[in-house]
Amino acid sequence: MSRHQRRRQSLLRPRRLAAPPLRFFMPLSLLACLLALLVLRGLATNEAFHDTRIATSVDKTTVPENLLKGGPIIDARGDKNEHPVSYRVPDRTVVLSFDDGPSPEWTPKILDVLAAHDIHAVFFVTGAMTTRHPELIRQIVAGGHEIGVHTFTHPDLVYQSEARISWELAQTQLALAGVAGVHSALFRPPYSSDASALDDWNYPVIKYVGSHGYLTAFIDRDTHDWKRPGVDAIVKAAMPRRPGAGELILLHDAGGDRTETIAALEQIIDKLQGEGYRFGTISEALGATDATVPVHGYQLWAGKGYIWASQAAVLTLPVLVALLAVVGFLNFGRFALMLVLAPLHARRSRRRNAWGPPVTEPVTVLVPAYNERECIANTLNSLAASDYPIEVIVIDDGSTDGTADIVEAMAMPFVRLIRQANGGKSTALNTGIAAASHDIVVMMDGDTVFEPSTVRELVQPFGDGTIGAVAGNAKVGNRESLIGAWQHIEYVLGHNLDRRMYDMLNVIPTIPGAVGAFRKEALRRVGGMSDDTLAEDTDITMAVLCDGWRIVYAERARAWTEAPASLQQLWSQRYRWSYGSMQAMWKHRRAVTSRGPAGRFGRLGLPLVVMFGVVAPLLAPLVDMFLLYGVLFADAPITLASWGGFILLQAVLSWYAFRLDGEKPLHLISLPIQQLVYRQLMYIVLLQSTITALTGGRLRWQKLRRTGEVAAPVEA
Amino acid sequence: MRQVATSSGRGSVYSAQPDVAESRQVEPAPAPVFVDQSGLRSRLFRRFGWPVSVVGAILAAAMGSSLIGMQSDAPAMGIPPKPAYLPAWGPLSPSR
Repeated sequence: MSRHQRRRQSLLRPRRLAAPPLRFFMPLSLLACLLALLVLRGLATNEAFHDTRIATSVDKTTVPENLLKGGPIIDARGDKNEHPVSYRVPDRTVVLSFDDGPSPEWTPKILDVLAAHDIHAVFFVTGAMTTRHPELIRQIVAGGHEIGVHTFTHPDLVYQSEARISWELAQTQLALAGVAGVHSALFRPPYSSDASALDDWNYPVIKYVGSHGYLTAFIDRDTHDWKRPGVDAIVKAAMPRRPGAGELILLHDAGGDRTETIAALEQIIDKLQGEGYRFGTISEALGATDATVPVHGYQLWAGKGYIWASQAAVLTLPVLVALLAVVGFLNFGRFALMLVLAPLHARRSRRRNAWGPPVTEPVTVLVPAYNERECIANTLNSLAASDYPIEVIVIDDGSTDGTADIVEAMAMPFVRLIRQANGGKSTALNTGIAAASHDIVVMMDGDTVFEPSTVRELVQPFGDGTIGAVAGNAKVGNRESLIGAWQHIEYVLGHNLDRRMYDMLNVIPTIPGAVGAFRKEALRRVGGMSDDTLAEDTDITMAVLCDGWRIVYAERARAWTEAPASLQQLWSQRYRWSYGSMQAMWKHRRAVTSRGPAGRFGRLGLPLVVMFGVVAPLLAPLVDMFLLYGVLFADAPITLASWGGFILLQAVLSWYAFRLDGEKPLHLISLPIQQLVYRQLMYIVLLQSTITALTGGRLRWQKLRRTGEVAAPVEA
Repeated sequence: MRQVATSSGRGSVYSAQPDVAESRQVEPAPAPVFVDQSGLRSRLFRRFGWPVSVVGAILAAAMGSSLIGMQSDAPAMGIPPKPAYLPAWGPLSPSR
């Protein structure tokens, strides 16, 4: 096997290099878009980079006295960065400030109250809320109010690096530019209070933000309205300590039920206006130029693009989640089906004489061989040890390495050799079927080794006259390497759980070419092996099922096969399998609308195979994108924990499969890595062969196959 | 098709009669499943695939770069040296 696979590699390599990179470039570029959209959406919903830690107050040894005792507005910009100054709100002046918004529910109501009294205020908005509610920012700006930056994700900046603080500022400005075409010069750190609360940890943040040109606005009066202490308490907290003193009042327009805030706002305005207070924005109170400055050109368009992309991301997410749900449903549905049906199958196979009287009549074993010099002797020797009466027909498919001569030289009395010009595996099998003396035909590959009991176990189900074919249990012999171990896991899982499940539903879609048995009658009725597809074993299995025969899985009929040992060999083997099975599914598509047994397969088996074998793997990259997003941008521990849970579930299932198959669970230790490398390889192969199928290319490959270059593969 | 059949055990010649195989040989070979002889599907894939991929890559790059956060500086805001110049009474003039 390894010989002709190497040859096929060398034949294929120039073609693969010559193929346009589009088939790789397109999925990659779409996946990159997907990841970017996920991050954009995560930012807009404040899920990405979320940090809920809040620092406690520490010493104030580094904070200048004048700031601790000074006003709420701190100017650490430009040359004042070394020695920041603070400003107070002038007497009989009130600046109302609203943090954490805008919120679609409460901000419009607050704007209505302010408009009714013809008052301007300051809204310290977060970038995330801005991105999600652009219209509200536009309303705030149109109402003559001022916008301040309250960071993007609302973290306690004390815990964040300077780079992160800078990013928070930049991202919020980008969002503001996108929604309202403005940047803001005002900043208020999350979880802040009055200037006397400055300490050794948050003072550097204020200086850093000042070095970027921001004026930091703390407060005079904290109403604690977010705790919902009652309207009276909020109003009381908003009143000045000294009558007539200017003040900057903190209220909130987001983060929960703000009914009390709105009721209190009316009273605060009425009371303070009654005391002769005037209301304004920070820049108005300081007599400064506008804090909200229009932007043009690149800044404006970058912002608009950002907002558009974020909106698109928020809109597409439900679609992505729905697709993810499909994947989840398919995977868990498959697991559930396996968990229910595999034990039933295992119980059935433990029953003695489950198929009626024991089958003892001799059978024919077909061994199609193309350049199997290394393996053919082992194969025939293993057949010689068979404990069941067999006739062996080796069909040499025009080998050029003397395979036929080896067979002839072995001179085994029960072996017949048929030499034919190279015609492909299905032709070789048809030749063998025609030459077979017995009613039951066992098919194996020239590189496969049977156990002494394999044939006997394989043919026992034929005691039941409705059974037309039997699938055996192909096992990976070379499982010492990592690739071998992964394939070993895959074979054991695929055979013991998938095939048992399909068996119980009577829709086994593939009898492995390495070990399977057919009634000659069933083969004759469906017209023998066909070379319409690259997976003649799947094709014939589906044809036999559609003809109304039952197909069962004989787990104790073990055949040992040598799995591809390099990634390249594995790639081309799986490429052919995926492509061939899709061909077979397409070829038998009319079964969906057929009557009788074909219709049963078409409406039960085909959808299952398409869903589990094509749709789920094609959507699997989506899962990896969500995983990547979760680990890198959102909550890594939760993401990793849920992923670990999934792996664990799979490990439990695999362990059960290994136990059913009497295998040592040692090889399961590579399961986590298998999920990180092998699974991806498998879905990339499937995607590539799907693209090939859709574009109708690769004719040369099929011609190659007709000349037998890819005959006698390791099928499972 | 040349067919030489030998029974390696006895050396006698066995002549195979591959009915099924022969009957398939006689039929004109049907086009293999999925293969598009005209190349139309492949051309369509390339014609639409390239623009889609290039636009996708540009979009991904643009979206990615919009997340880097390069412009973090605030716009200029001038504050007069003595902010308390405001009259203690009367309306605030709108800022300039």
